[in-house]
Amino acid sequence: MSTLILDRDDPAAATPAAPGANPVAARFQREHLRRERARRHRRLWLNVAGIVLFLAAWEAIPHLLPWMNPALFPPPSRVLQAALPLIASGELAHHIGASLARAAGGFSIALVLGITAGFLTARIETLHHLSEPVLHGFRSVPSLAVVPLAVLWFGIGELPKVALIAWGAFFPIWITTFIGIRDTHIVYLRSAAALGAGRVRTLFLVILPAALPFILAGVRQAIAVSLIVLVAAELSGSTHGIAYMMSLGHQLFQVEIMFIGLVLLGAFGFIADRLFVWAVKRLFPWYQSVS
Amino acid sequence: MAALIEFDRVSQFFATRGDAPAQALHDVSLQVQAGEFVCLIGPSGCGKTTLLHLLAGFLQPTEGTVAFHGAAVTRPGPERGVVFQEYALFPWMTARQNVEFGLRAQSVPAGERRERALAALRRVGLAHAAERYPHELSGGMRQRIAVARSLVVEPKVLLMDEPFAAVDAMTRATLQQDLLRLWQETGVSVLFVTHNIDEAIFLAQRAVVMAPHPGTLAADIAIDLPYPRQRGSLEFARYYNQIEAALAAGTHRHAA
Repeated sequence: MSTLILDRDDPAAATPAAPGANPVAARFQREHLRRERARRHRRLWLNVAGIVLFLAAWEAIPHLLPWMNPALFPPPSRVLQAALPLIASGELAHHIGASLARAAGGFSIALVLGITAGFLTARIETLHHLSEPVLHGFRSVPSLAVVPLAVLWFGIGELPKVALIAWGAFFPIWITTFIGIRDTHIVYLRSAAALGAGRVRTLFLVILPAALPFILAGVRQAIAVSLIVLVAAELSGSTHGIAYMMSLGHQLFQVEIMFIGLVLLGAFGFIADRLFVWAVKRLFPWYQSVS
Repeated sequence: MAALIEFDRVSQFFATRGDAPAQALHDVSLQVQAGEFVCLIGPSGCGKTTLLHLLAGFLQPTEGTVAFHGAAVTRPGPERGVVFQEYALFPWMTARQNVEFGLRAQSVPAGERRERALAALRRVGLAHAAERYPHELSGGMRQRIAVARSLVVEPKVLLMDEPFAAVDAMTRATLQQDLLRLWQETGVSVLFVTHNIDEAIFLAQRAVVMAPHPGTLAADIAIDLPYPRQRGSLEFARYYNQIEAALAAGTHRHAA
């Protein structure tokens, strides 16, 4: 049959073999899956080994360098010692919960507003030209510069913190959404139009997915920005939260407490980024280039 | 009977960075009957793609009228299917979802949509690739799916813009045979842009030869050969010479 002549050199064009019927195919598939699994395990083990090596080096430094004051540079064992009562009393969990709620709240607001603003400014030229100078002007202002003003306006409650995080995370999402939607390949739009798609279907089935790689890049950056602004907002006045805990450690000269905060912030950043990659792989199997 | 497609004295200009606009088409008139297979052939710059895009509704003519079924074309629509050169499948959808897109636009219920999409994929010999993404498919397979995606909404005409230009020669020959089979089965009209003389003679009932700068019609040659056509035959070679001469005359006119 004529339709079976395919490009031989292109693996994508090869005939799929049924592993159930073909013993060679079955063995190949088993081998392939085994190798893939081994690769994943190896990566996980190396990740863990990296953390262990890092902790070991950190622990060793005060022992190897006698002039170093362990009160100023506490090894992980002392940090853990200081953390245990905080964990037991639930104080640490309280701080973590407060910080995560602020970061997640601000980030979620930024996500919705950023994508909406990016879409509207990319599709409505009048709006784009109208908002261009002001939005780009605000974008250049570091969000840390807005912290004192936010405290003055909103006091030291939850509102200024969430608002500040939303502010900081909004811009990377807005700008990448704008670029992604503005640069949607004309052939996709023409295909959709020629197949009779209306505005709403074109938006959700074509424009947004086409812009997704850009939007995701902005979202990933916004996650990192959320954590940065979180710290600045909490340092400027709060009664709980990780950065508050750290400033308390500073005032009480408990450097261990400050280190707990540093470790937690690092862990948050790493876990948030891994979650992001995992979610993207689950939600968008067609989108390959995330690692 | 009125023609299905009617270009009447169409001229088309495009804005450029310089002071003068570029003219893509000059005073082009062309009629295509329902069910006809017409190839537009010419060198680059002859406006053949512009002509196709006007009928698709992507462009509005600067002068003259473009009519489909007796009504002026104002925008794209599913009765005029378009197959692009490449990269027109949505990479975020599987082959089946791509084919279902036009049915989704018509709010066809999910079950029926799936059935019709699978039937269309079977028709182009790719039922087994239904759940694969475009990046997992070869160029030839992608173009088959693009054809299935256009045909599933049962258009009156298929507008094809050098659809097989980016695939290798062997795959291209197969795709051409499949296209002829689909054309004969469905009775759809085809307006096919190519710069390949061999392709035009193998496929078309009429080869419309265009000349460049600005785009005009140079010749309208009826290819009166039974299908399937034999590339090695004497008649094939005669049409080849005839079209080649018309192309050369058109280009010469410009050079002179």
